[in-house]
Amino acid sequence: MKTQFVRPALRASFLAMIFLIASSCSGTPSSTSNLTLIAYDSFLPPEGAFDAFTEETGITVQIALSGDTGEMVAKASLTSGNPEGDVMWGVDNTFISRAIKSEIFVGDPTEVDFGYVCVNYDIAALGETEAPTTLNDLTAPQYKGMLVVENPATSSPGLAFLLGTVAAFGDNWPDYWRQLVANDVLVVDSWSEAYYTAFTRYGGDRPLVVSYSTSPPAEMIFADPPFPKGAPAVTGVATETCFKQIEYAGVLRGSEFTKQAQQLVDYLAGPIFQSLLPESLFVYPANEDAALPQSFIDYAPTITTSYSLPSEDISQNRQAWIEQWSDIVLR
Amino acid sequence: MRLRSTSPLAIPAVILVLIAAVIPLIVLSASVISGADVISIWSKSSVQRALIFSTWQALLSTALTICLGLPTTWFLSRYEFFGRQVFMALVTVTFVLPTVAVGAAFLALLPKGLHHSTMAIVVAHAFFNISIVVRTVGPRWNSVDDRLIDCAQTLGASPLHIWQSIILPLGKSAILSSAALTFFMCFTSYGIISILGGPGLATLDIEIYRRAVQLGDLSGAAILAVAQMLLIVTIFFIWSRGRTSELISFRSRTLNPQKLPLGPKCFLFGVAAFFVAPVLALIASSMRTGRSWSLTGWRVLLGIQNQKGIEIDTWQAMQTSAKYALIAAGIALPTGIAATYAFSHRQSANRQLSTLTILPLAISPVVIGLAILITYDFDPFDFRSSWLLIPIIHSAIALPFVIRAALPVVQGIPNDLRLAAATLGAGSWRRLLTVEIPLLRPAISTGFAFSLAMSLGEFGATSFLTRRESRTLPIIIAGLFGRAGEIPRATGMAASVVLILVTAMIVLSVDRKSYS
Repeated sequence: MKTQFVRPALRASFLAMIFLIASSCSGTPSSTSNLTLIAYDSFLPPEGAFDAFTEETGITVQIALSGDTGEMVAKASLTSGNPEGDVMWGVDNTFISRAIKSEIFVGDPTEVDFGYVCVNYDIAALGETEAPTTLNDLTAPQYKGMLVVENPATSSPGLAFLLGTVAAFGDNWPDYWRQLVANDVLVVDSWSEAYYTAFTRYGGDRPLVVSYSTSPPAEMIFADPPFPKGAPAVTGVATETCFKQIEYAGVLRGSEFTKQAQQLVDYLAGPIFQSLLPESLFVYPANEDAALPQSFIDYAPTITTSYSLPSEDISQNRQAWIEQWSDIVLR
Repeated sequence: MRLRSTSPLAIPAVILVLIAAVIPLIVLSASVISGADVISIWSKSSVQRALIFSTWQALLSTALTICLGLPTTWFLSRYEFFGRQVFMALVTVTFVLPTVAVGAAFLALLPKGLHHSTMAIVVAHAFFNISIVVRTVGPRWNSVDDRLIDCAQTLGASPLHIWQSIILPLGKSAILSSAALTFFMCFTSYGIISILGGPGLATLDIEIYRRAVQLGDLSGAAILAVAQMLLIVTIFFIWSRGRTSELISFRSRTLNPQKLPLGPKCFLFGVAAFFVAPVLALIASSMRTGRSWSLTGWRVLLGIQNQKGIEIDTWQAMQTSAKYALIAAGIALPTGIAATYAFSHRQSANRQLSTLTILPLAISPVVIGLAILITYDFDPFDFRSSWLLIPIIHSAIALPFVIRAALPVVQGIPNDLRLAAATLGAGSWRRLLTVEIPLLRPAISTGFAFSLAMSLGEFGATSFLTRRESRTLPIIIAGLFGRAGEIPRATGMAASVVLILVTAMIVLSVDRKSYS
């Protein structure tokens, strides 16, 4: 005798599979009136940021979030020539040469914004101690056990800070890091963890944290309850510890709508979109015609000296530097 | 009397795994692996460290999870007591807790000396994985006949003896299943290790991510991904070969209305505290901004207060999350349970196939994401822009859990029942509806809860494939924790609480029907 309960269950499963295959061909493909903009997952311009563009050209913009910058570039390199979208926003100078080498863009990408990765300090927690200014200050005994940095192998501000020290000390950067280790630097894996668990402002025990030069205005904008107008800042920036990060946007090679895509890139670099950047992405607009908001003028320090490295160097040495760094710091 | 072959029932599951994991991995490997790396990658110190660390922390974590999980499971599956349903939901909810939030809560709870230690990781892994034990072994123990234990007691067996000779052997296959799943979950653990372990400690999965994303070494990443997959499959294959499925004494499921003795009560209370503490810490921090108690985070999250610079649509995110979760469960549940029938018969040759369905657990989400991109990129199979990709991947990840949870139950259904029904003239649909499905109820609700929870909490693959207007809750939470300031932080904490509540409610409503 056979048990035949098998058949109905089998049918049901196959129906499920067929439903699945039949309905998976949805999704809005790009067209002359609809472009896909690929960006990192923290790309969140305000509602209506593309209205002016749609009004002018009749093209709507769909945003595809693609993980963090590293994941986005890894994906784009793999799909180079047959991209998932038409325009990419936000490849920074630590990844741009890999992007160019994989030929993901048509022509040269356009610079769209920049920002600085710097040591921030918690003014209340430092108290009487004078705030640090330079990289060398961080190795001084009065800052022992105060600094938290991100792991350059897993975090982009962490990598930027390491690159800053490489730019500052040249071949002697390993010595600098040995001094930081001797001064009890704490390493964590991500910016969120450094800022929200280790930093004194959020209950940690480290008053110095590697963050951005624009974190102080963010602290003021997002304070709860809000600070009165003209209140003093709660965090500060060690202004000579900064590494400059530049972000680019460009038309992806393989997009069928190159002309429209280029229009979108021009809009991204134009004054309307650029003026939205400071208070949504907390970066500086590359376009000098875009006005800075009051919060930036009041609370973001002017960075006069910053470190940078040619992106070719970064691309060539990144792996070796990170491995060398791990051997020094994580032992 | 020969059984009709059940092999075809495994086909949908096998297809799902092939589509979502195996084929993409093969395509990726073929296009990026360079031969020289296959040997040289193993001499890198970071790879060796990751391999050793992955293994021993996973062994330790599995041991602790089983030690805490077995007694918990026994009490939950045998006794009715006040708060039992809530406890069950609580245990499952831990599965979906966003790691940033849990990490923060754990750091707040653990003494300073244990921060960034293997100890912290092992404890957190136990916290996350006890639900696997409870959900896999629970249904099995629930169907153990009380009379067996009564007899043993009458004959003078000590409680220890009863455990050794009745309870453990009857749960053996389920216990081994849950231990295997726990081991793989810990072996490939990502978020917990990166938050609690600190930078010195990396699993193979973290090393794969690092190579693929930070170093641009796709060849190395693909080799490690394939190696990890082969390793896990081999272990699993050996594991399931050595196992025989025991016959279970079958009886309708009733819970013991007796009062729980004091000892177990204290034990369960301790376990409950272990689960509740991080959640309470999370709720507290969602209502706390730097200087005072405040509901601003909640107001921003619920759209009562507009906050410039924070663009979130919580309602949309909840809908998207729920939609993905339901579709994922809708795929994983029938596929998985059907496959379980094929795998439950010892005589069927395709039992080895069950090894295949463990695969989605063994491949890092980053590698799956990358591999799918270059596999399905040609018309008419250009699925890259299809949102359905996300629930399909979720269902593949949930599949091994559905199968492991259903296996003990399916094995426990006596064939005589089906045969009796057939003799009495019940057709195949009628038998499915009146015999199989009612008996499968614990497996269905467990599998359903697991798939929903897996999908609701999944971050890695989702973050790779999201559209702005269809962000899920975990994506929104990660975004909020990615910017500086009191309001984004409090809003992120509040969003985590919402994720927990949504999951708890779903699990609770599904669970009500199990074991009753």
